[in-house]
Amino acid sequence: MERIGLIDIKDLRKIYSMGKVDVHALRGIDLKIEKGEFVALMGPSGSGKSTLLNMIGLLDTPTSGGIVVDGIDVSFLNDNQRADFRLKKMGFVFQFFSLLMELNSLENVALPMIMDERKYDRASLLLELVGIGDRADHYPSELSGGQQQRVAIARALANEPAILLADEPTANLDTESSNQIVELFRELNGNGQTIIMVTHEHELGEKADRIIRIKDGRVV
Amino acid sequence: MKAWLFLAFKDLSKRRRETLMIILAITIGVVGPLFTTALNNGMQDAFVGNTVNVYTGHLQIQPNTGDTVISKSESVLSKVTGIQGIVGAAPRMNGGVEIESRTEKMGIAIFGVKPSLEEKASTLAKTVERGDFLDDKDKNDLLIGTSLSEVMKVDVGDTVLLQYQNREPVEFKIKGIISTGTFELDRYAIIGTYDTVKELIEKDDASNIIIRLENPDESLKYKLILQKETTLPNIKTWQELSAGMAGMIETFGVISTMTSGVSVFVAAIAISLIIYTTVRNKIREIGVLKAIGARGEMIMRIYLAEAIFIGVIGTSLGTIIGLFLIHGMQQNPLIMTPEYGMKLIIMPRISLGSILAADLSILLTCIIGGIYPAIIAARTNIIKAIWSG
Repeated sequence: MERIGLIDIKDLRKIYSMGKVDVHALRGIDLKIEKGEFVALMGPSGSGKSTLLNMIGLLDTPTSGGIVVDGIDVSFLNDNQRADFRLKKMGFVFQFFSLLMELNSLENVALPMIMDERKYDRASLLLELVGIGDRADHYPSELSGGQQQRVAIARALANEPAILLADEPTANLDTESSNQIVELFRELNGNGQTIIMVTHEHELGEKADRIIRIKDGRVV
Repeated sequence: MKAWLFLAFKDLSKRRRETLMIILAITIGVVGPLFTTALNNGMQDAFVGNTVNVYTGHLQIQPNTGDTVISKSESVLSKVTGIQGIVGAAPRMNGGVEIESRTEKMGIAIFGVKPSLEEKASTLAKTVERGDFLDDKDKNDLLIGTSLSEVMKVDVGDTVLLQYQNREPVEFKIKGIISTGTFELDRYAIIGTYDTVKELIEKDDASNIIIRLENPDESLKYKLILQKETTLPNIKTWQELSAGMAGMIETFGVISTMTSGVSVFVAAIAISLIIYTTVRNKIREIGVLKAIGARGEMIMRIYLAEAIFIGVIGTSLGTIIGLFLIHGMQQNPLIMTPEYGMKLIIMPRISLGSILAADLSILLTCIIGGIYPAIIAARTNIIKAIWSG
């Protein structure tokens, strides 16, 4: 199957100023990710993999270099444009269970659709898709870690994002739940969903189409 | 529903207990200023109203500068009573005498009044608590205030001796006990008929003429009319005559407003602190919201909406409870006897303007209190927020 370029990163650099010391988190990353790919970003702690994911997800801004996502050079977007871009094009799954505690599962999943002023009929379908349709009216405090992460994945898929970004999504889960989550990612990817996942677990990384290894802020 | 409204509503309903507590604080913050303002107005009405109704009149014609009496007061009176809008006018004569009962003796002011004219010019006749009001034909009969009657240990039917300077004491009988709600007439003066007092204190003519208007608010207009008609320049309005007392009560009002201001300020600080604490506690959630596409302005709207919601509910509740209390007290006015049984009936009163001013200032304070934490939330750095907690 012919794949279309979705993310094009050129000479991406990120320097954090920590007082008098500059920390080079990314030292010139060049990377292309195609539509429909399932990519695992792997590397030791402090290698820059999460920083790279934050740059791709427009959560942080690079010091220099360019990122083109879905044909748009996102380096030049202002804060509001970046927020809108994240809402419409990105889906995030974080390491911790990032649900809003005052909302039940259905409302958590519906939130991006409400924010985008869309109908949120799909929310219950998405909960079915991630296998917890029967927990729609449960609040996060009433769900296990694995279930919360499934709700987070359903929420990430709410606005049919171009890219699903997952930062160590199984770090706080037991082995069984971790395997289920990765299987879910595989299923989603099988349906054409582009996924970029940060992980330091080889077993999980190997389930991706491609592993990109990062070390000292560079692709190795 | 807009996402910010949805999230604000959800957040408030999740933190129901804190929300109710802060609403209660605002409610108290509203009830306080409303009630104290109404009470202050009622006190002003009681003091100034009583004084004007029985003592100063709406307008008072006073002697020309340097004179102690109004010469040809009868002629002045006849000119005044013909003017449309004037309900009544009555001459009064003032002086000082010594009063002696069986047990007490003291110096006191004495007022001479014409009872038939007083019935239209003042409400003096309606202030009789025991006994009767004076009659034009009465001689050596007196009205005495409740407070003074207690001090002198006299009641209706008792006799007292009145002595003017070194003249022979004259015996007077207490015909009625009055309760005017003014210190001047209840505690420091006695009232007899005009001609009797005129004879007792040897005055030639009226000390002043009090005038009652159909519309007290037109006092200034009638002052000018009377100055023209009577050619007497020294005419005072009730506002001028009661300015000292009104000023004193206004001072109390300022103090109560300042106290209310403190309670409003405390309410604002409480709102600000609670929302700020919420923002700090929810910093990760705010980070997540921004990560999934919430703009800074949307985050700000959530917390501002919460402050406004709390403010509106608290202000509305406070207004309803405040008005309910004021209404209840209007049905059962506060009767006060500040000194020796002098009776003051205090009926709280509040204007729409005062209600709006109190409500708007508290609402505005709530919004201002919510702005700072809302800005903090909106400016939250996504990465730091997500990795906090």
